[in-house]
Amino acid sequence: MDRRAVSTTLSYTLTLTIATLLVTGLVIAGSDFVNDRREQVIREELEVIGQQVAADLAQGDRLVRAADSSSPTVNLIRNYPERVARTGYQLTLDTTNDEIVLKSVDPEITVTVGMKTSTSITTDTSVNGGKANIVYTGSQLEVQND
Amino acid sequence: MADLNHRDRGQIILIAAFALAVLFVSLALIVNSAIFTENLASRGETTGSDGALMARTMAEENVGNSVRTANTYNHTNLMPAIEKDVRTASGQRERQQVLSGGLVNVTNPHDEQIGSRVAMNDTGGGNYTDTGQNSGSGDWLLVDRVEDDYAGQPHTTRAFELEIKGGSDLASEGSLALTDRFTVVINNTGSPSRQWKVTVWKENLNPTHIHVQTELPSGTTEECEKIVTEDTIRISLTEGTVDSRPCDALGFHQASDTDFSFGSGISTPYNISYENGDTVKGNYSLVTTNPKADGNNLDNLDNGPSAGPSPYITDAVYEVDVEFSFVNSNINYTTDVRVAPGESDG
Amino acid sequence: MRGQAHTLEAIIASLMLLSSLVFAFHMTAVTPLSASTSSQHIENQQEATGQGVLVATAESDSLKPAVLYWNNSTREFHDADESEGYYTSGPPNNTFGEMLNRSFDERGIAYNVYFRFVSPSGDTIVRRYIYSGVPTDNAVTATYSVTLMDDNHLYDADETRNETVLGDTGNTYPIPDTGTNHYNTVQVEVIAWRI
Repeated sequence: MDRRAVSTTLSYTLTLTIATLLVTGLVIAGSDFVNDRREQVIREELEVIGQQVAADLAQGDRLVRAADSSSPTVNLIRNYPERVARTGYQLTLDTTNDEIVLKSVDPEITVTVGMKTSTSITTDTSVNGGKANIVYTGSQLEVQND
Repeated sequence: MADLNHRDRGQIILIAAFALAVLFVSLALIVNSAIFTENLASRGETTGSDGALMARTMAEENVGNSVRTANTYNHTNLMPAIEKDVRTASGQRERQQVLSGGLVNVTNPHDEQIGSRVAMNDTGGGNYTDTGQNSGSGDWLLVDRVEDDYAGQPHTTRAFELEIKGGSDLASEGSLALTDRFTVVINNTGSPSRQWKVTVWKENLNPTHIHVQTELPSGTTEECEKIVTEDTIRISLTEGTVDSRPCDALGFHQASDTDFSFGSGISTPYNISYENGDTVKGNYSLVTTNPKADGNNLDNLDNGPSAGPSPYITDAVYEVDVEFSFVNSNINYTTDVRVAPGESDG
Repeated sequence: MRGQAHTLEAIIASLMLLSSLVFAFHMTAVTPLSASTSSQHIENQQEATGQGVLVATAESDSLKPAVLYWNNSTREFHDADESEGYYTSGPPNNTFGEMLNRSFDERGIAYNVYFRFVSPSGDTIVRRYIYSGVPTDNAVTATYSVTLMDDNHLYDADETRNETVLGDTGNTYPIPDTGTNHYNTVQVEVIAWRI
């Protein structure tokens, strides 16, 4: 038997508790960190996708303006990523403020990207991520899901 | 159970290591997603529309070529000649474009506007007089009353090209005053009468230096100077080029924000005439929206090309619309394209 | 015996820890852009340059003269390589060649230029204009189409118009006539790669 003042059970319990606390603390901090990274990544990705949508709308605008007839057929077929860091997202065109609003589902993050075109755009259409068509409907540009 | 003082101490560390490993893996997945997005951002997938717009420009150019040759060589049978050329060219172009994975189609020339072409075309060139000979009058009316037939049409004269042969007197400074040099004058028939003129001359001491000076109805003038080493000087008044190089005096002048292009400031109906055409020798050609059957111009002009230098008038297509279509995996673009080669950009 | 098992356990534990750390550090260092000498950016840039050169040449009316830069009497392009019939040691001496030189040669990018046209029987024929060797795997291409008409002139070595017209019976131009007024459609293709 050893002559220590503390019994083995107590020392054992203490060590285990401290170790558990440390490990739990580490895991919580780590997962918080990962979540934070994830939110930032989602924000960045949504912004990039928003810029791409704006560029595609500008392309559509250019094609409509270059047409000499009043009703050209313009159809741009685009493949946006379906998920952003493992969550889906939605696109909305807001013509009153001239911006594109992107919203991810979980966690809920909203990103806005400005855009400006000469051709008028159909307001407030909401489109899921993934395959999208930008179509000229004879008077307005519209983003549609396949 | 574990006796922490002696052995099996590694278990706690192992659990912690596993937890950390799981965290690292999920972090890796997230960073991967971010890298993918950044790469997507750098790719710039605008290749679809650039290709479509370029194909449209090429189609416009090619149909323009067909219109030009049909006007020159098939003026009795215009539309069938244009249709045939467009079909041949489109078929060949389609075969070439297919290799890049797309479909380009130009078909159905329609909605054509028939005007007339006034030209003088002789291998040796003639004088810019009303008979084409040296004895004719150098001040004469080329086209009488060019009207605007189709409402909303931006221009009514196009492809006005002068081909001045070397050896013309093309009055030079010092030998002839400005009013005695070769000038093309546009004046409107209504009142008040306004004039747009452009004068061309070459320098006495350096005959390769060609000057072009434009005078607007308001009196503002602008001059440009180009060095042309070739024997034939090619000036396109509607396109605004001298020897295929742009000339400030025939286009939009940035510094003063004024438009000096062909006929700027003059509204239809207007007349086109030459002054001092006896100083110039060569060929010329222009297309207007006036139909030949109007009969206004047959005093000075022959009805159809004749042997020997002499100005003539024929039917010509002023502008035509074609259906253009560009399809590939990213884009589907179909539209009408209006072709009027050599029209002023202003 | 027990000592060996313990040692093994300790070693494996430390190895796992180390490898997980190494894995964690490596995941941040890999990007798809660090692949080869020619990344996607550079390829995009070269393609845009090639397209830009073609469009600029066409706009200044120098592309057709470059296609028609043919010497009717010696039956080859002006100053081309005698035995091959195309340019191997540098661009031709016209505006198109000058623009290619400024955009590509001065940046260490090699290029080939081909003419693609149609024979009277409908087959596609490819003819070399400028050839600098076999392109690498990362080459990019840019194209522009030009229509030739029967009344287009050939061009002399100093880029002035020659008397000979494409519709003339005695001309030796390699691209054949395929229509009445329309001569042929030529697609000029520029392939560029980094040497």
